Amino acid sequence: MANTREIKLRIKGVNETKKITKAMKLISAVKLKKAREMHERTLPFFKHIQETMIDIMERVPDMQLIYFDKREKKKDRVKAYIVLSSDSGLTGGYNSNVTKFATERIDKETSVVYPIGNTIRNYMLRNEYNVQEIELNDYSVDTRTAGDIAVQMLKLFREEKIDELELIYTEMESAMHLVPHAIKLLPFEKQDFEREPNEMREELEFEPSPEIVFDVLSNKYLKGILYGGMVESFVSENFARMNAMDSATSNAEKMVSKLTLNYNRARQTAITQEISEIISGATNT
Amino acid sequence: MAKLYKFEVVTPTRIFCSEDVELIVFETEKGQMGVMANHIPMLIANKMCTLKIKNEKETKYAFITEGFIEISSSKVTAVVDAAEWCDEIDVEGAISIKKAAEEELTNERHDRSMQLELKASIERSNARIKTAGMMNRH
Repeated sequence: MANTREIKLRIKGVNETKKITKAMKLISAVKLKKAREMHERTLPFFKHIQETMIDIMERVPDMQLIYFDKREKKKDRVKAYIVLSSDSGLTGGYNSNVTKFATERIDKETSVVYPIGNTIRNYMLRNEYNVQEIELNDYSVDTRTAGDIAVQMLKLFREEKIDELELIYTEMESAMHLVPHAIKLLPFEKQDFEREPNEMREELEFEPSPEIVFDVLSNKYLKGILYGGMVESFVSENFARMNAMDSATSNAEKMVSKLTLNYNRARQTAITQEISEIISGATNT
Repeated sequence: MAKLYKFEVVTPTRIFCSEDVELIVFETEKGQMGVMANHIPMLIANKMCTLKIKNEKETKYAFITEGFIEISSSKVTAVVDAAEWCDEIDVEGAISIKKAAEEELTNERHDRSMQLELKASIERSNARIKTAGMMNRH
């Protein structure tokens, strides 16, 4: 049996770890809530943009737009992926799920990967994927970052450096279910901009031209989708961390109670031993 | 007394303003443009500029970034990335951002895209400073 001092130290250590995991859990919970609220506030904005794009498509259906060009005839088409993961670990299965999903989906030879988050970046570099960087000052889940990414991606697409773009992110389907998903960002699909025909359609003029207005919108639309994916991933990450930390905390609690039991036993044994030593000493004299 | 119409400015972070107005004035590629009630339906790409809003009681100014303005028969909506009332703008902050960008611009190592970005930053600061100089009139 370990001596009492050792057990006591161990209990202290476990308790301290428990404090940390508990704090991390609370932080994740707060972050999660905040991101959700932010996202809800931005929804009207992006909804409006999509509606307006539909408005334009309905009125000028045969607009020749670069962002709809599928470039099917082009040889050596380059597929690009933006993969969202987290910077730090302690998130349960979150990162490994994304990584697994991405490796199954991405064809190493013909694809470019734009990783976001250190975990996926390190993995992709280690496994010799064609990794490119998005130029960002710092990554945070907000519309400005999403805008920066959107601008760079649209530019690459216009310059025909990439011909297709997908976003790989994690979606929280239900409380216990975090599922990696891929959505196509570029080129745009016409069916994304269709809806039930509306009787109330009024004439609309464009200034300077429908193409230019649509161009302005494309940028914001892409930003909206990116931001949605970023928030969803962020929420999933924090939810995964929250769960991981929650079970860590309860494990710590179990461990402490087990150790306390051991400690009491050890103490009792020591006392019993001492007493029997004293008694046997007394009877001998 | 001019007729009023419903006007809204939507940004990603909030619905910036939503009220009944007489007149709004903003800038497009081709120059200034004003909208009063009963305007024909239109979709306009606007430039980064000072937005003037005149309602029954007062005239207000706000800084808006580039975006678009949708005029329908029932209301007018401006959808922009960011908007600030003229008295909300941090002028000193804008001036220091502008100075920093100008200094960076003299540094010749930057590539073209960086230069464009810096120029855009200067332009944005200029527009904000200009808007901050406007006074709301009651």
